Amino acid sequence: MPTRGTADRYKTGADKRSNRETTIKNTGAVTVKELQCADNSTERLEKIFEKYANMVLRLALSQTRNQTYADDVLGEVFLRLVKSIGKLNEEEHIKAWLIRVTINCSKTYMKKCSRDNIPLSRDIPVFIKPEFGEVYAAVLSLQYKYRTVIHLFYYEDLTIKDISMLLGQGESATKMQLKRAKAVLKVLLGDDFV
Amino acid sequence: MSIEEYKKANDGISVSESRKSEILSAVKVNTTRNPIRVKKVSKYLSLAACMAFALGIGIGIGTIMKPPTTIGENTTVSNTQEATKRVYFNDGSAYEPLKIPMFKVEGEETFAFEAFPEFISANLAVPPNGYTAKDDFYIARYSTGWYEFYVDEKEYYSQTDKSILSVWAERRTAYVKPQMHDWIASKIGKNDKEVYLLEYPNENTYMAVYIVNDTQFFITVKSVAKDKFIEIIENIF
Repeated sequence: MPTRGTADRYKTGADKRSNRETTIKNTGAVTVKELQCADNSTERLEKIFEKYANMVLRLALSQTRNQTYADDVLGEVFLRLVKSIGKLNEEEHIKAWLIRVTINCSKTYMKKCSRDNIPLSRDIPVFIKPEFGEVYAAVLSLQYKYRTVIHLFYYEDLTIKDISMLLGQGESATKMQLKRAKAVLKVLLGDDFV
Repeated sequence: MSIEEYKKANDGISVSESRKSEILSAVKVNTTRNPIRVKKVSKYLSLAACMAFALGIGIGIGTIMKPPTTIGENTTVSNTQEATKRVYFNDGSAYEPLKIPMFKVEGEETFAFEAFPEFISANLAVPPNGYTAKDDFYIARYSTGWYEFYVDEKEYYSQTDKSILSVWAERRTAYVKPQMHDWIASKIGKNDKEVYLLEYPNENTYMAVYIVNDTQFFITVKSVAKDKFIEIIENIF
């Protein structure tokens, strides 16, 4: 379990409307210095990719519920990172930036797909492997906003404040979403769910 | 049952090695592009540059507006442009695009290029029938420099190592979109054709593979929006 480090401030580049500030903890083994010491941006990008690719993929999967879409989002996010790498100096910013951009890309991608694709005659099942278990399936069956907060809070271990800033909403709204998401999970999974 | 199960399930998800290498290679390509450098120039020099640019645009438009060569039955098309050809090596390790002297198309049936307004300045002919391995394929001229359009033939690969084709095809089919497949298949409506739309990790590069009578053809279009590519594919079939 990663520990919560000193909070640094940053502005979410993607959310220009709110221009708010938030904090993201330092969670990984690769330090900022190590990242900055990389000989060139390619090497740095590779390090970032190694460290955060899984995080982006998991978040994208929770958002899109589709392996193919999540793969596409993963590629898109890192291609966008190529363009923005110069502006991201602190590791905390990188993680926050990646989360924000993954959420944005997933939203855009899902919107685009629902617009462009002609409905299929047969249903394609939501991406859930049987070994992932009931809880995973239940979380993915939640509404978009609920599964986002669940993923960020429980899996990424972000604080309510961090999540609120990333999603551009108030802390009370995030708390409420979390509470409702848990209530829905309880209904779906029964009283055994803690 | 607790939320820990959700964490465990997520821990089991990771980026596949093949996807990793695809994205990293795309990232490398994008980071090694040379930035455009702008230098200060005097106003006279910039004026001269503007005039030269305008002249260039004028010439370009003139070239584009030139009507394309019409390709009909029993027509031979020769061209001096260069096309990109894929080359597969016997060791199966890689393929590289090469610039080759332009093709010669000889065929009974071709379809004219006018169907594709995007390729206004190019001549394009895909001979669906009467196409043999010795016809060293096909077709494409891209005077704007923005488009590549090429068709490969299965026989060509089989002259080398069949396993190369299978490895290559397998890697690409990982990106088949079931929705697109269904959609294109529904457009074709014939049992003897199968079409898959594939995507490169690079932005705005799309590929389709279609199979006609056990022969695979590949079409790649670069620097074009996905919608436009789908439109192109739709026109083909």
